[in-house]
Amino acid sequence: MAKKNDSGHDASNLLDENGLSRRDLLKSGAAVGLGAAALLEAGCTEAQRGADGIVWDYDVDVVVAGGGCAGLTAAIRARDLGASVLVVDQNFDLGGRMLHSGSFVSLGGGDPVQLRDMKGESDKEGFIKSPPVESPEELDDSVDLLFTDLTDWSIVNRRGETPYRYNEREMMRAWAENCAPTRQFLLDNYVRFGRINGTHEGGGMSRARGCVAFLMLGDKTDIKAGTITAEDAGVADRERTSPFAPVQMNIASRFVADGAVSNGVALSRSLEFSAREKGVQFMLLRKFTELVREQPFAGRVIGLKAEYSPRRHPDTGELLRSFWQNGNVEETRPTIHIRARKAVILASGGHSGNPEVRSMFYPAMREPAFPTSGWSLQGPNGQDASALIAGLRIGANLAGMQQNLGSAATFHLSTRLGTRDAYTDMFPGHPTFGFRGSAGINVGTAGFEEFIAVNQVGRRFFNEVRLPRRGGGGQYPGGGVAPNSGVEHKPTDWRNCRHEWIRQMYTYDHGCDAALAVNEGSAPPHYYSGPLWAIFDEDAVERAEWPLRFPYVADNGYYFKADTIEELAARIEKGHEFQRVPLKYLAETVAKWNGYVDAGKDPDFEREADAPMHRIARPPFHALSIMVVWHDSYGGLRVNGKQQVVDMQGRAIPGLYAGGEAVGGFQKHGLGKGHVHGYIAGTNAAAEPSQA
Amino acid sequence: MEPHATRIVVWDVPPAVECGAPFRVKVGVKCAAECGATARGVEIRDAHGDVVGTGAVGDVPAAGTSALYYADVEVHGPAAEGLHGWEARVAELVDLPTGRVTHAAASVPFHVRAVRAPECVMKVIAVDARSKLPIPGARVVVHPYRTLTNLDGVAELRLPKGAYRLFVSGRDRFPFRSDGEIVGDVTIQAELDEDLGPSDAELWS
Repeated sequence: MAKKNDSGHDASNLLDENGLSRRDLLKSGAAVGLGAAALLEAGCTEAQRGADGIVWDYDVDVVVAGGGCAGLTAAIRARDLGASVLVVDQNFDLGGRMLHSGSFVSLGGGDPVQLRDMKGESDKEGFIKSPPVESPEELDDSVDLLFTDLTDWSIVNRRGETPYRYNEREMMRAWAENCAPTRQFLLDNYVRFGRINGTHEGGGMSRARGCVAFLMLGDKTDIKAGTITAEDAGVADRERTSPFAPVQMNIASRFVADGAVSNGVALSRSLEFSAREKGVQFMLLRKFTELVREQPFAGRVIGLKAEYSPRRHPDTGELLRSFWQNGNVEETRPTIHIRARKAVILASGGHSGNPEVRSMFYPAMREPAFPTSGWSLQGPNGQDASALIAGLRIGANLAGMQQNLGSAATFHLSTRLGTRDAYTDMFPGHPTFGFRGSAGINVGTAGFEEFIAVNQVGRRFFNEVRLPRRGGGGQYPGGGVAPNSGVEHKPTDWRNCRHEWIRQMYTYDHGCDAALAVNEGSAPPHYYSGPLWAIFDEDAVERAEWPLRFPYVADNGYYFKADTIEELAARIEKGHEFQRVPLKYLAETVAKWNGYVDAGKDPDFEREADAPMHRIARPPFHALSIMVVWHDSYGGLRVNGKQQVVDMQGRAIPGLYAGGEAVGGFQKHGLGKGHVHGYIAGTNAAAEPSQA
Repeated sequence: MEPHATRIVVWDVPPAVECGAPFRVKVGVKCAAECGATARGVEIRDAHGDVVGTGAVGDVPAAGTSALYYADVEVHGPAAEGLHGWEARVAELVDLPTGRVTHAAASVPFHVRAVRAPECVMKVIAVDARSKLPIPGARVVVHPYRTLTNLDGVAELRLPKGAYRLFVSGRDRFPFRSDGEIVGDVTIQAELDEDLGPSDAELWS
């Protein structure tokens, strides 16, 4: 029964046993619509045009834009409820940022893992041998307590931010009510969780609610059996990662048992396996660009437009392919339209990879020298604000736009130096390693003692030892941000934010803001701060034992070495893609620094108070890039408690749902937000009446 | 033709030398055009401009460098206690047959800290704050004195009497700091916290 559509592409693999319509050519609007479309000027967007004249290339119940934690969860949930589901994702493989995550999923409200640990039980397969980490009283949770925590106006964190005060309350209630069902859903889809251990930033102050996903090391990688080989897990070789796991997995003996490994691979690959097994279909290398609504600002959302976004191996030029292929829909046309009979779910991530969009929160972060976290893994279209942009074009409202500024995780300096992508962990072996070219060296916060940090003209700008400090996030147990914290914590108590207490616990030094400052090399109109450099000598290399060799560093413009400081400055200027001006003060800065070391005082930044100071004198001299990273997004589309996108008049836009980082109004770090959003969105999207 | 510019680097200057005591420093010289010129004389002058040491650049580049040739020069510490501004200089290089200056002269300032003879011993025992296990190779600094702990996590600094600020730091560890007044031999246990990096909850997850 498979047909080819009018451009000759085989759509049969989309349209078989999964309950999908075989209609591969559907014209909406008929002759009148075509006539209207013909009158429109070139370059007009689908949103401006409305649905008239659209030629649908695919036709499915639910279209999900994005295959990360919200998207995969939504897709499986909708499929479980009988919908045909197609996921489009701009990248070559699934998982989004979830695949690279630590897999710490903070839920709560009396979720099944909390209850399991309260009873001291193992998991159903008996993998867990370690005792519970948290006491029963720390796990004794409820939906009401979780909801209270998520709207607790009294919490001010160690950076003076208010992580819960501005959360959207309807969404918080729905989220709290769906945490337990979502945890069970994840467990039912091959995800294994270890012991509850604390709570994620933004996940509430009163109880322990978070845990990591795990797999057991074994002879073969088998999601059903819960095993993974050491090679696939990346634990066989410290300097390699596998195509299966872009980041080496962590030993999880404390929270599971000996032989357990954890991180986002255990979470993401398990969900992906389940989704493919259940018949969710995937169109990868396909970037969602626009929504199609019946009228530009009225009616249902009935589909989306997506563009081919191939990624090729940086060395071989081969098209990158997903690790698993079953369920993939091969499609290479430049532009296609996909009709959604029931709903579109936007789960294509946030805006941290779009400097123009993120600059509305922090203008200095328009600086393109600092890409999003996960740039090389996700590619140039990752976290590009696609959902936000498309939503605005059809009249969607926004929420939580100030909340990007309310988390220590949003933007900060990475302690991984010497790589453009300072927030991922791919080594040779994973196909995206070549995009970053070097793994970088994680010097830790303590490692900043070893060097001076200079801006694009070669001047110091901050006390280096304090530069990478991020301040606390405000999470259970207390996070140091509430008096009497821990299980004694009293929600919504005014004493939590009395100003005397906040002065006492405030710990943030604002190094990131100094790093992004206008300096002598900044030029109009943007006045970019320019790149940052760690400058040190051979003595520092010996002290710190940093491996200044491939794959940690490479000749890729993010590490330089020279016989003299003057030569080092010249090499940086010549070799770094964003070094727009000479480091004309570098030699002078190093000489001045050495004078401070000899004098025992740093009158510029008072480093003598925090750590020993070391001369930069013994050749050769080195420079490693320091990167400002933007982790995740908290501002985005406004949704209601059903995850329906809401318009500027407060009305739900029919047929449109969103979740994860595409959504604003929930200042919760991490995966728990996206999974529950996906679960709610998938549930409600599947329940929509079919428009066929 | 303009003479090539010369770069000059001074290293291995002890952080503290006893007044009048001999010590050695390295002076490296490199042609900015990387033409590999060697056979250049260097001299070290004290704060008064007096030459206190001389040497000749060898023909083997310093370890790890491509073309930084250096001299190992013996000098004596200043007679007076304190921080002294010295200078290393390299003369211009002249092509004798033509008399043409092929490489410009260069100089670089550096400091020498002259100290009086020590009077006390500060014994530092560096241990991990949680396990209490010793930390070998930790840096022990009481400005300007510096040393490293041995395999037992122990180091000794010989200091003059007076106020001190002790730092003990090490790889992947936050610095330990102690301020005080040393009037006699003293033993200090420095407990260093490990820099564990972000927790699972603070990572990407």
